[in-house]
Amino acid sequence: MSFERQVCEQLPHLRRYARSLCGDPAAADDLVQDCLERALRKRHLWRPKGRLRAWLFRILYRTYLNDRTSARTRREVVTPHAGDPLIARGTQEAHAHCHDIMAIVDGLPSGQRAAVLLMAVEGPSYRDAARILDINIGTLRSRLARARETIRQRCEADAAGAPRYLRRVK
Amino acid sequence: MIRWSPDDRPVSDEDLSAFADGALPRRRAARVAAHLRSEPADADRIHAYWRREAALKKAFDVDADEPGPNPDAALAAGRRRRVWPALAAVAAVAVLTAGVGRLVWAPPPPDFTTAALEAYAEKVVRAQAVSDTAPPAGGLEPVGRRRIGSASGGLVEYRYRRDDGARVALYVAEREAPAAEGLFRLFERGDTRLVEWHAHGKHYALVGPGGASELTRLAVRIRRELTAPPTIAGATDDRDALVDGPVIDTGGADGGGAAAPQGVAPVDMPRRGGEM
Repeated sequence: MSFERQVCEQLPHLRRYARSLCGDPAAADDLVQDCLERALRKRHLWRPKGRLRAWLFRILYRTYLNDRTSARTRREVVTPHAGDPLIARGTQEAHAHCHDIMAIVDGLPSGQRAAVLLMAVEGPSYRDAARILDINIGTLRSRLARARETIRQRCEADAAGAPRYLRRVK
Repeated sequence: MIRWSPDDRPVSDEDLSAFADGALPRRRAARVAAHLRSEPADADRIHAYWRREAALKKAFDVDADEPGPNPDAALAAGRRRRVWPALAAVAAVAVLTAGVGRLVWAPPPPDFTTAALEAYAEKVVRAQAVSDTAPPAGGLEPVGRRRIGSASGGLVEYRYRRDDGARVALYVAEREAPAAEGLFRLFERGDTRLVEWHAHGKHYALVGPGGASELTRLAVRIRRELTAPPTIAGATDDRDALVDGPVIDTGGADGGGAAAPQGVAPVDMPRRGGEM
């Protein structure tokens, strides 16, 4: 299987994590675009026996960190309906008992947020996650534990009188 | 002073979190499981982690069939060209090819695609010169042109050579094609790739060797050049540049030939090179 095709197979995963990091689908697509361009330029650095998804995620996350300080990430969101309240889907409402989990996650420190989102949307091994985020496994464990406890405690506090909507994410 | 062995130390938040991820060593996981049996509140915490992260995952799910941004729209808006929608087309084809084999035909229309692939595979013994009638093809050097008959109508083949010496051919069907505009379709036969699209009542297919992404990028560029007035001749775009390499002569004989496709403004096409 060609390198390009293997990369293509990772697109849904990359887009999902990019959306979780960026929130805005257009910004997420730009991030994936940049990630793919870098991956294609650096394909000689990829070891065929390595985990391509982890390698691509590492590029994606590094690109995200680099872009966070650039003007692109500060541009105005032009996506229609971006930021509009969105009624929570029934399954989420029934099971999550937390109606503003996105806002809580967005409020986490960036390292904790990237870690918990990565585990939530992709669930890689700790080894892969640590490599993607460029931290050691101990730091990853610590960030995940703190992020999850923060989310849990705020959700529980929120459950009594939270606004019953989620932020629109796509 | 109490000295805990690694597996007997008290269960921490980090242990619960790692247990939720199935990332604890077996003995430590057994220790945490025993703890959860005696502390149902902590078991509830783990269930809460799972529920909320499942909700997060669902919120960010991407539909595999969800179309990406239209490259033409992006270009029209003056934004950077996107590579991944083209790659997404490759991915779609990869799905289609699963269990089918290396050669895949996606309707419609197979006759045009077949004719283009077969024409590309032919050893050309006589071609017409193309000094100024070939469509621009991302700055590639035109080396030949010929008309190819088929049961369903004629094709015109324009051959180019890349800077690395590889042969690339653009096929134009002089008839309406049923494919939707703005959609690239990718086919492959062995090491040969074909990208086809439909624009302004004509059907185009770009055929060449090597990576699908490179050919698709070239197809995006050709489509842009076919649908927009030519800009300054000689302008280069490093993002689209093909890999430098030795040039081999694929040659073409003299002769008259088919006119350039309607709407195509012939331009002088400089040789170009650059980084990929």
